[in-house]
Amino acid sequence: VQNWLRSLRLHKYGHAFIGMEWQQVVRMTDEDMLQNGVSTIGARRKLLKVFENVMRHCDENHFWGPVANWGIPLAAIADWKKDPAYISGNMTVALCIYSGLFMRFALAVQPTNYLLFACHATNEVAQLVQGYRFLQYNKFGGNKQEQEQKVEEKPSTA
Amino acid sequence: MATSAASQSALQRFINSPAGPKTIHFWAPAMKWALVFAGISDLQRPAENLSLPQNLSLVATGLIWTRYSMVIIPKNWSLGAVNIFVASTGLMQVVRIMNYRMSDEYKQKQLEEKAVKA
Repeated sequence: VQNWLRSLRLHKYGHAFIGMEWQQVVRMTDEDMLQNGVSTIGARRKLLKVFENVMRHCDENHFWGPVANWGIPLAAIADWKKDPAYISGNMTVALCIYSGLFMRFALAVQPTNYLLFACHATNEVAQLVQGYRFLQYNKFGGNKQEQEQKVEEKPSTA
Repeated sequence: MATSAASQSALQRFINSPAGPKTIHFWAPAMKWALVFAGISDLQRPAENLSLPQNLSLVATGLIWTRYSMVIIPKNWSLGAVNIFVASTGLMQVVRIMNYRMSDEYKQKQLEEKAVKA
């Protein structure tokens, strides 16, 4: 924090933010800063502007990044209704591992990103369903059942 | 082996860093490469068995994260790199799917399905 203030040329007010993490600093209001000893209004205004930029930056990345990832679980859920032949076994396994790790990651970052966690938890479920359908179709004979059905249907339409 | 900070090798510092291989902060982004490898192996699958929604969502998320990894603090080159590949493999699959849909084989199948329903 002190280095950050130095880069803003406001390090003379470093005493006002002693012992604080940047996450607390950016949430300080005008009154908070005045109480903590940032006496000049010019300095407070400049700091508020900087805080606003940081907050907006965090909101954007903490929001839009995870939003981008929602496409994956939504695509998987849409695919639940489709023929299991469309499922890629490799991709499903990779996505299960990926979302499992990112569920942990979302809880471990500062600040905790519940939106990202929700996205990956949903995807984990969606991919496990697809994985089950894939195994059902390819390993346990769903494939053959479908082929038998087709063979039965053909004579009746010929 | 001396363990004071000054004599720690670069490798030791990396291994023990807060975003290093002992933490989730390292492995989660690293595992994103699994999506790239799965995508590459899927290039072998026949185009008629590919999922368009899944591949479009991979392209979208890959592109968005490539941009964001350059905008976040600190810039994360490895995250940017993996996402460029996620977007690229996704895009290759989308192109394959679109080519297939414009092919004669697909149009033939569409006609057959319509005939069965009629």
